[in-house]
Amino acid sequence: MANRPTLLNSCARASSAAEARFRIDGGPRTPRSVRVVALDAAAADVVRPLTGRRWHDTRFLTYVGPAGADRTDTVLESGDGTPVRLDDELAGADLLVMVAVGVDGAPAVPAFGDACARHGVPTAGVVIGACRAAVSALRPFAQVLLVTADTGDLSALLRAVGA
Amino acid sequence: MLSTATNDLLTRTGPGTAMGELFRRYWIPALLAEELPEDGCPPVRVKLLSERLIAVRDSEGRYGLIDEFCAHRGASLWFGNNEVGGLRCAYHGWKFDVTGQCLEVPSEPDGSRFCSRIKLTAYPLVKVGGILWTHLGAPGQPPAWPEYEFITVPSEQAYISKRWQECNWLQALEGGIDSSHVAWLHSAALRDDPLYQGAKGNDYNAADLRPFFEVVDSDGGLLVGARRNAENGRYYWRITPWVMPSFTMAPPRGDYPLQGIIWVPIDDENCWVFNFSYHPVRALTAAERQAMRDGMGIHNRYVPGTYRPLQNKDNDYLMDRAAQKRGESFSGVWGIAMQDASVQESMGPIVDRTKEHLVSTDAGIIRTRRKLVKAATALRDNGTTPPGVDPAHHRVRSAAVVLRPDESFVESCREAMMAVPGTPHSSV
Repeated sequence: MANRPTLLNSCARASSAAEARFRIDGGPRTPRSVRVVALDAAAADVVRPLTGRRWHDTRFLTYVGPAGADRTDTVLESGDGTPVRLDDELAGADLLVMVAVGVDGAPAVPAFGDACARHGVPTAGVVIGACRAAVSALRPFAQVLLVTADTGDLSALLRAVGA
Repeated sequence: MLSTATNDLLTRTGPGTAMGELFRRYWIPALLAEELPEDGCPPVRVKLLSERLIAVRDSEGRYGLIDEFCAHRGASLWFGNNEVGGLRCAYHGWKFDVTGQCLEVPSEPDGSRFCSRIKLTAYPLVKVGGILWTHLGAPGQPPAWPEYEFITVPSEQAYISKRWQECNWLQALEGGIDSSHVAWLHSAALRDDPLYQGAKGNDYNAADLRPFFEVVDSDGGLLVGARRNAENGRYYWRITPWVMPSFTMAPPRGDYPLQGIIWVPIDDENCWVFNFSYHPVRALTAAERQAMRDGMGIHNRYVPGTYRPLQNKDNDYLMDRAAQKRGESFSGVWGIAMQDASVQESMGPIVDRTKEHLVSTDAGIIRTRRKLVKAATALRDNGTTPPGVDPAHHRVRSAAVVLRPDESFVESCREAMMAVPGTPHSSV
């Protein structure tokens, strides 16, 4: 091994622009299945304009309330007003993004966190504005929490992660 | 993922580019003050934002940054003589002052005024702290001088170094925003580096490899908080400020010095990495200063006589597979600076961001790019002054603290994240 010849492509110098041409073109990136949940009415207003855009496998939902006799599941509403269950939505999802403007949906956040933990789905939170109660509610359950005044950050996040 | 167009917008910094014009609104580090150590010393070639320049300290102690090439036939002025009052080209003796003004054209007859009409492009060069800063914007009124704390403390409290990194500035900066790599790539350094070892925060880092992140806007850029579990249900927060366009500070450990980096594009495929360590209230110890000279912390060792790292792409960064196998270095590359440089340079001179697969914990990077695009296009389209120009935005510190779970790091650490002269930093 000690006498193995060092070719350009077998050393760190292969990071040149010329050698970059030989990087394998992996084709399209892997799309991800994302669920975006508006936790309150103002958040729903932020999310609504995104529903008309082209996404891979992304569904936009609005939080309605707890469900089931033991209130262990959560009812959501899809874009066309159809009620759906959180557990069903998380099956096969790659990411849940919780969006809040105000504090109305804060009590539901632990249920989202627990459901995601059961399904092994990563969580993200986006707080539009700076509602302290919303930030506090999301903090324990959102692996990443983006606090921003810019509503465009939500779509930027979704595009960046392949939604 | 970015489109090719957005990637180009973010990574191209030459004259006339949107990001180049953004950089030209700021004072940026051009070189270390030690590179022009005395009046009348040899000039230094400098390339910044894809412009080839020469830095001069004339016989009167005036600094200047001028076009590298003589207006006559285009010879490099680096070969010139730094004479009384100006730099004289070695080829035909044309002489220029630090403002680029031609003072003499020896071939012209006595009384000729030809030289008064010859002026090289020139930029201001000012010494603030241990750095010579320049403003490559249009002539006129540059912004107020930088006020980062590391250049305002007494010199015995600071250590500054620089190194050449062979890749685009943005992928290097993104490494400074992305603190989730620390527990992997730099894991051994937290244990062994004399500038970090023994800090309580290291234990929190080691015990929780899946930090949660919080990304919040600040006046000058962003605050990125990484939180890990501490005792009794509390959280250990490491807070990294980013000030536009390319300043970050890593959170401190124990009473060790604060540290940070400013990345400066040389051209689109190379950048300077200006590293600083400082302590707000005490002189650096001899041991700390020696450790920095030895390449510990965020500093590095050099190819003698250069600012090129001793470990570089030509020697595979002196990769040590045995050390990697023994767990002494996660990547087999020694030192935090070169661990970062090796992986960032391996991405290629300008990484193709159309092929990346970001995850939600890359939100800091996503937000950084978006803020840069927004600032660059607002400047291009409306002339809007970008964040980070105002020196008030420079007076920031990183912090490492333990908080109750209901506490916001932004509110609880508001004072800790402000650089107030003579006050200690907040660190665990």
